[in-house]
Amino acid sequence: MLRPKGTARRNRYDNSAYFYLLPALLLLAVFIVYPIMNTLITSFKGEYRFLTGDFEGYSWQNYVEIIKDPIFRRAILNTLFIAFVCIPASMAIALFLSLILNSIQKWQGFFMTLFYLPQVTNVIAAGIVFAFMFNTNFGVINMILGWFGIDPVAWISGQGIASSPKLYHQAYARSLFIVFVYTVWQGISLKIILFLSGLQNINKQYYQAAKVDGTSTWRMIRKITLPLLSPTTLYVFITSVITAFKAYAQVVALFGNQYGPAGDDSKMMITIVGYMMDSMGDYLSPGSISKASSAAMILVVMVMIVTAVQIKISKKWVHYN
Amino acid sequence: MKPQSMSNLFRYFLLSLSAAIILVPFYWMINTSLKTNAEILRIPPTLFPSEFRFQNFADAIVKAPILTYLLNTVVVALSVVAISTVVSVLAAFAFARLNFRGKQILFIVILGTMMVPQEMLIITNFMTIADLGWMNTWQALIAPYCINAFNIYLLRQTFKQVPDELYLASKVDGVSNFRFLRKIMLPLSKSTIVTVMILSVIWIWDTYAWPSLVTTKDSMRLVSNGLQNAFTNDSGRIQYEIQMAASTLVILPLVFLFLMLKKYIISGMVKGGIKG
Amino acid sequence: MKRLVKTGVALILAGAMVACSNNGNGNVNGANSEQEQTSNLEKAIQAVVTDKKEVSISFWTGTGANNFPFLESMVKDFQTKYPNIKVDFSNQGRIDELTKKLTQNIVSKSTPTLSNLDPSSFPEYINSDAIVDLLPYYTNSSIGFTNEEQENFYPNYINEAKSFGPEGTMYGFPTNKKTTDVLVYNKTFFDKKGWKAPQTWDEVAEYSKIIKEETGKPGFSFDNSYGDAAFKLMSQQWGSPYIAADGTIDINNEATKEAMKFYKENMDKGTFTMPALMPSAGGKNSGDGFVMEETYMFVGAAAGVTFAIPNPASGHKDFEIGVAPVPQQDLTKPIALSKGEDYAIFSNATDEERVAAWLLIKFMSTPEENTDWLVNTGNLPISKAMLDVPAYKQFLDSDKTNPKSYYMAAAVNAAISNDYMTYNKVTVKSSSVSLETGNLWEATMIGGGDIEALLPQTAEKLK
Repeated sequence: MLRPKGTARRNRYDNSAYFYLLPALLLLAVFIVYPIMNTLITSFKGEYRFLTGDFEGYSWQNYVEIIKDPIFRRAILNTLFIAFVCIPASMAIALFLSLILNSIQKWQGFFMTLFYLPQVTNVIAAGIVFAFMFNTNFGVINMILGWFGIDPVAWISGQGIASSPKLYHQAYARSLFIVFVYTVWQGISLKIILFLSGLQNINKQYYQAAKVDGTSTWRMIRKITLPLLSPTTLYVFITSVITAFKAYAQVVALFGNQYGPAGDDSKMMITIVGYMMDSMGDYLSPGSISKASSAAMILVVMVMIVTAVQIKISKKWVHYN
Repeated sequence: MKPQSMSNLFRYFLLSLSAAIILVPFYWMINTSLKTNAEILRIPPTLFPSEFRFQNFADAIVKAPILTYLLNTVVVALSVVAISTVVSVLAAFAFARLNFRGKQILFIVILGTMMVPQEMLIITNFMTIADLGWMNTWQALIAPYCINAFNIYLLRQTFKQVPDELYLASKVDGVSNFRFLRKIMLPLSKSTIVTVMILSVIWIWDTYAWPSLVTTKDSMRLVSNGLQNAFTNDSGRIQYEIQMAASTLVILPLVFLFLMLKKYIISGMVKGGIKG
Repeated sequence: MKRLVKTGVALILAGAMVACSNNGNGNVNGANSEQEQTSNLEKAIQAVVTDKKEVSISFWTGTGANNFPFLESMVKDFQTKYPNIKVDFSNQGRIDELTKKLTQNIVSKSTPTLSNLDPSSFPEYINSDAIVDLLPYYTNSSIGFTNEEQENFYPNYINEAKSFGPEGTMYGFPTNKKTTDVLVYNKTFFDKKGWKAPQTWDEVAEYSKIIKEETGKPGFSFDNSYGDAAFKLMSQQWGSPYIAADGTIDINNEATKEAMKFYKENMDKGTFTMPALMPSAGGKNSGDGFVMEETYMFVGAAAGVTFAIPNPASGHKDFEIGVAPVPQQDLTKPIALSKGEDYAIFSNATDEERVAAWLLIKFMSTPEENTDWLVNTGNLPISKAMLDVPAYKQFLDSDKTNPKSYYMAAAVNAAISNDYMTYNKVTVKSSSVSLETGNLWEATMIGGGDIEALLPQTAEKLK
C-alpha cells in the first residue's frame, strides 16, 4: 500500500460533506427554496385571494397582464438603466480611483477607509439624506451650484409634467441623474476594494519587463493591467448587476412610495421590485399577490439570463492565467 | 505600478477631491441633524449649525423602551453572528475542499438564491414562522438570517486560496477534515470570517420589515423599529432635522464598528474577492 | 376541509350574520343556529361578567407613540374594573402597518382578539369571515348600549359601522380616533381685511384672488396626506356619487370634472396651491408652509391643527389662526366627510374572549374615560354625552392662555358644529380608489395634466 493516500481519496466522493452542508441546506430549504417554490406556484394562480387562499385554476394570465402593463415596462427600463448605465459608470470611476490608489505609497489605508464608508450605511437612511441634498431650497447641491452663480434647480419636481412631454422628459432626466449619483456613490466602495485587491495580485514582474521596453503608462494599463484584472472585473460586474436588478429601497428613499415627484402619475422611477412591492401592498385585492409573484419570477429569469449572457461573453475578454 | 504621466501631487489631489465628494452626504446629514427647525428653513442653507440642537436625537427616538430594543438587537445580532458563521463556514468548507455528488448543482442553487429579491420571501416565511408557533420568539428573529449565500460564497473563495498542498499533507498525516478546518483553514481565514460577522451585524442592524412583522410586543422589538417614525411620519409632515438625526443614529454605530475593525474587513474583502 | 369546518363553526356562532352571509358553506340550518348563538352569547356573558371567569384577550392599535400612553391608561382602568380580564395591549405602528400585519395574521390564524381597523379593510375581512358581527353585542340587554346611549352616538358613526357588511349587521364600532377636515385660516390677516371665514368655495376663490394680488402668495391649499382628500370631498360636494350606496365606483362624471376644473383653474391663476409646491411644506401637509405665510388658508384634518400653530420663536411668522368648517359648493346641500378607524373583533376569538373584547370596546367608549385622550389628541367625540363631561366642556371653552388647547378646541368645535357629517361606503377596491384618485389629483393639479384625458384613464384602472 505505497500509493499516496491523498490522491486516491480526492477522486472519490466524500460523504462527510453532507454533514457539513446539512445546517445550511436545511435553512436554505425552509427559508429560501420553499418560499421561492411557493412564489412560483402562486404566480400561476388566477384570482388568488390571499386571505382565504381561494383561487381559480392555473394559467399564464398574471404574466400576460403584467407584460401588457406600461408601468411594468417602465420598471424594466429603469432597472436596466441602473444595471447597465449606473453600474458600468461606477465601475469605471472605481477602477480609475483604484489605479491611482494602487500607485501611491503613503495614505493608502486612509483613503481606502474613506472610500469604504458608503458601504457601511443604511440604504434607506442614505437615500433620505440624498433626497434632502437635492432639495430645491434647503439642499446642499443647489447651494454649491449657487456659488457658481447657477440658479436653484428644482431637482425633484413634477410641476407641469403631465401637460408637456418636454417637461416630463426633463423631470425624468433629473430623476435619472439623482439615481445615477446615488447608485455610483453607494456602490463605489466595494468596487474599489475589489479592484484594488485584483491590482495587488498582479505579478510585478510584468510591469518591470514592460518598463525595460520603455512602454508608456497608458499602454501598460491597456496591455497588462486590464487583461490581468479581467477576472475581477467580471466578478464585480456580475454581482453588481444582480444587486442592481433588485433595486428598490433606494428609489423609495429618494422619491417616496409614488416613485416620482409630486404631480407624476406614471410612477416615473419605479423598478421591478418596486412593481412587485406595489402589487403586494394591494394584498386585499384578489389576484394582486399572484401578480407580485409573477413579477418576482420574471425578475429572477431576467437575472439568470443576463448572468448567463455575461458569463458567455466573458469568455472573449476575460483572461485566466 | 507607477503611472509617470501624473505627478504625485495631482494624484493626491484627485483622491482627496473624490474622498471629499464621497463624504458630502455624511457631512450634510450630521450638519442638518444638529440644526434647529428655523435654521433648516433658511434659504440658502447654512454650512454649519449656528447653534447645536441635540434634542433632535432625542426626538428621533420614539417614546419606546429603546434600551430594551438595543439589548434585543445585541442578543439577536450575536446569535445570528454565531450561528450563521458556523453554518457558512461548514458549508463553504464542503464546497471548497470536499468532493461530493451534486456539488456543482448545489453551489449553483446557492448562488441562484442571491438573485431572488428578499422582499418576495417575506410572505411565505411569515406563514412558516406562524405555523411553527414562533411569533414573538427569538427563533423567529434569528433563524431566517442564519443562511446567507453571499457569506458562503465569500468564505468558499477564501478557503480555496489555502494551498492544496496543505490539505494533502494533512491528509497524509491522517488529520480529519474537521480538525483541518479548525486548525488550519480557520486561522488562515480570520479576516474573512470577521468580515462575514460584520456583514451579519450590519444586516441585523438595518433590517426593519421582518422584526416588525414577527413581533407584536414591545419587549421583543429591535432598534430599527424604534426609529420608524422618523422615517415614515404619521402625519406626512417632513421634519428634515429629525430624519437626519435618525439617519445619523442608524449610520454612526456602523461606521464606528467599521473603523474599529477596518483592518480585518478590508483585507477580508480583498481575500474573498479575487479569482472569481 | 379543516378550514371549512372552522368557517362553519364561526358562522354558527355569529348567528345573526348567518342569514345574510354570502358564504353559505357553513349554514347548516338558520333558525336553530341563531337561537344557539344567542344562548352561547348569554352563556359567555354569564361566565365573564357574573362568574368572573379569567379571560385573556389581546388588543392591537396603530397610533403615534406620543398618544399611546393615553390609550394605555384607559386599558389599565379597564382592568381595574374587570380584574378577571387580562388585556395584552400593544401598538403596531402606523395604521397601514397595522393592517398589513393583521392581514398576515388572519392568514396564519394568529390574530389578536380586538383591533383598530381602517374602514377600507372591512369588506375583504368580512368576505373572508375574519371578523365578527358586533350587532348582537351592541343591542344586548346586559352588555350592550341602552337606547339612550345609542341615541347619544353621532348617527354618522353608527351608520358607517353598519354599512361595512350586509344589511342588518354591524361589523365595526367607532373608535375614539375620529376626525374630519376643517378650514384653517390666518385670522390676523383676515381680521385686518374685515373678512369672516369663507363658507363656500366661491368665497375661498374670491379671497384667494385678493390675497394673490396683495401678497403674491397663493391664498389656499388642500392637504393631501391621505392622497385623495380633496378629490373625495370636492367631487361629492359638486354632486358626484364617488362610491354609490351599492358599492359601485362612479367617478368619471361631469360633477367630478367640474370640481377638478374649479381647483385647477385656481391653480393655473396661482390663487390655489398644493403642499408639495410650498417651499417650507414640501410634503403632503400645508401646515409648515402656512406658518411661514406661504399660504393664508388650508383644509386639513381637525386632529392635525396643532401643527399649524405658528411659533415665532422658531422662525415662523407671527399671527393668530382661525378654524372653520370646510367650505361648501352648495350651502343648501352641505357635505363633510368623517375619517377614522373602527374596532373589529376577530373570528378566531372564543365566545368568552369576544364578550371580554366587547366590554373593552364599550369601556373605551365611555365619555369619562375619553376625556384625557380627546383633550390631548384633538380627536372628535363619538357621543354627544361627551359634551356633558365637565372637564371636556372646559376644554371646548379653552381660551387663548393655552394656545394648543384653544386651537384644538376651535377645530373640534368647527367639526362638530355641523350635523351633515357623512361617510363613504367602502368596497374591496376602496384603498385602490384612494390611491389612484390621489395620484390623479396630483397629476392634474401639480403635473398640469388634462382632466378630460386622465379622469377616464383612472376610472378605467378602477373597473
